[in-house]
Amino acid sequence: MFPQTRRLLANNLRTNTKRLTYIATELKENSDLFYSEIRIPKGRGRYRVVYKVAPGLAHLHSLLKRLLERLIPATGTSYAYETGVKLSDTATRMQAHKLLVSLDFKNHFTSVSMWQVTKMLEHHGAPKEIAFLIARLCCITKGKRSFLPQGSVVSPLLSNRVSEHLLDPKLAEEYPEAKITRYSDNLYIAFASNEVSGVKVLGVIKKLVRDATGWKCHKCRVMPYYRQQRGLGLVLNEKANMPRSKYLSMKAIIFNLANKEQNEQLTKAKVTGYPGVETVVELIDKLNHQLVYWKQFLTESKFTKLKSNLQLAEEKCNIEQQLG
Amino acid sequence: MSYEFKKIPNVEVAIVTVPQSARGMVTIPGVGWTAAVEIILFKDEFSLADNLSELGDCFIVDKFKDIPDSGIAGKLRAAILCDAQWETNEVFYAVPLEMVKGGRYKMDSLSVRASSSLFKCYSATLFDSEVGTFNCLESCSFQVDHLMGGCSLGVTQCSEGLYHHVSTNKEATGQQPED
Repeated sequence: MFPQTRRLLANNLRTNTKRLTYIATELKENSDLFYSEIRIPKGRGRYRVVYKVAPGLAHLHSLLKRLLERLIPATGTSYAYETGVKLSDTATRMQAHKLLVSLDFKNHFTSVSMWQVTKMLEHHGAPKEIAFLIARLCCITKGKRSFLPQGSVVSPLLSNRVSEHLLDPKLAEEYPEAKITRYSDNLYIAFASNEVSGVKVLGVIKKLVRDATGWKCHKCRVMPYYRQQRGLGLVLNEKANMPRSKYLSMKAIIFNLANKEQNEQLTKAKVTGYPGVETVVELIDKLNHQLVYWKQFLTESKFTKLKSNLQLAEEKCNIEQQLG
Repeated sequence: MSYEFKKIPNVEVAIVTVPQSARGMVTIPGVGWTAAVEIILFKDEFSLADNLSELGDCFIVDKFKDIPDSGIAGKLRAAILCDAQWETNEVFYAVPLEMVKGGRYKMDSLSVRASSSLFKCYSATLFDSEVGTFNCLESCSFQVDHLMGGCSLGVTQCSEGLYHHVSTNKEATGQQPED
């Protein structure tokens, strides 16, 4: 049951109405009080903007997340950020199809407006005033736009629920025969038949997304069965697999660590995909963790090969440390 | 009508809102003198058990038949009989509590001596979903003061008195105004 009044909302969040009202007002007038902008380089001079949330508001967001998780159950059409949903299960759902079409929503969180959040909450039974207050507390205002900030703990949940409310039913209605998987801002539509035109599907989906939500799509790809079908960072043609290029680069690093000068490999690794790593021990640790993850997407022989080489690298590192 | 009655759909719960102009000199825990009052009515103990924790995290609750006489009590009686059409002897009433800096319950009100109170602390129950259910007076560190006639539920000391027993101290401290 949604809190029926502002006081009951404050009660649910273990705070008081005066404070909620203060934060909501300030978020509208002066969001910078609660959010600091962080720019993460994406390469080619572009940046991804994320927001660091002030501790007071971050605590409120985590309480709101707990409340909303209880009040708005998932419909089962979101495969990212949901408890109990595993990546391997999602991959299994998408593998071995004749045609896979994928696209991304451009600036997904930023595209989810406060109005959409409010309407979704009202749809789930929240009184108008409460829906508006919750949406205001969860959104950031920049210029005249209020939207979900990337970096808040509640944004993934709300973006999922907004998509489930506005988009997923329309997609299912348009393509009842297809297997539709939405992983956060990535949309995958898999067809069992190769008689469907992927380009046409893309056109229809792009228009449908635009009409239903106002979001823009990019990185659109049509992947028939005779080409590599990529999704969720995996190859999905027959069964979910680690991409070959990724496997080869990991195999090379591990092999070199086991058989060549390790500090030299560390310098190389820093440039080629492990920028935060400072020591050989850290690098080996990181590779070990990655291997645990990739195990589910590797054949037994490939995994054993990587694992045994990594053990050799570890032993070599230990000996060098003892000597040094 | 000097109050607003709202029945919550699908459950035997109603919210009665009494505006500031009509509330009179009645001390209510957690609600200042200038604020409108929201009181939640439950049809019976089953409704209370089913819905209280669904509605919020912390409340003061009591049986309606034990309510002290006041203007608000009269309005609640009218709401129960005319709007909800429930049996007054079965009804429970509750007021949601808010929290302030440091995790204390917001209970600051003027002295109860000058007015009537919405609850009697010796019969009222404090429900907090995180720490449990307590009798207000038994949990209060000013129990002796109360027995000496020094205080009653609704005065500033309640927050202090109950703080050491039930506070979870979880209310966020950053970015908030002074209360």
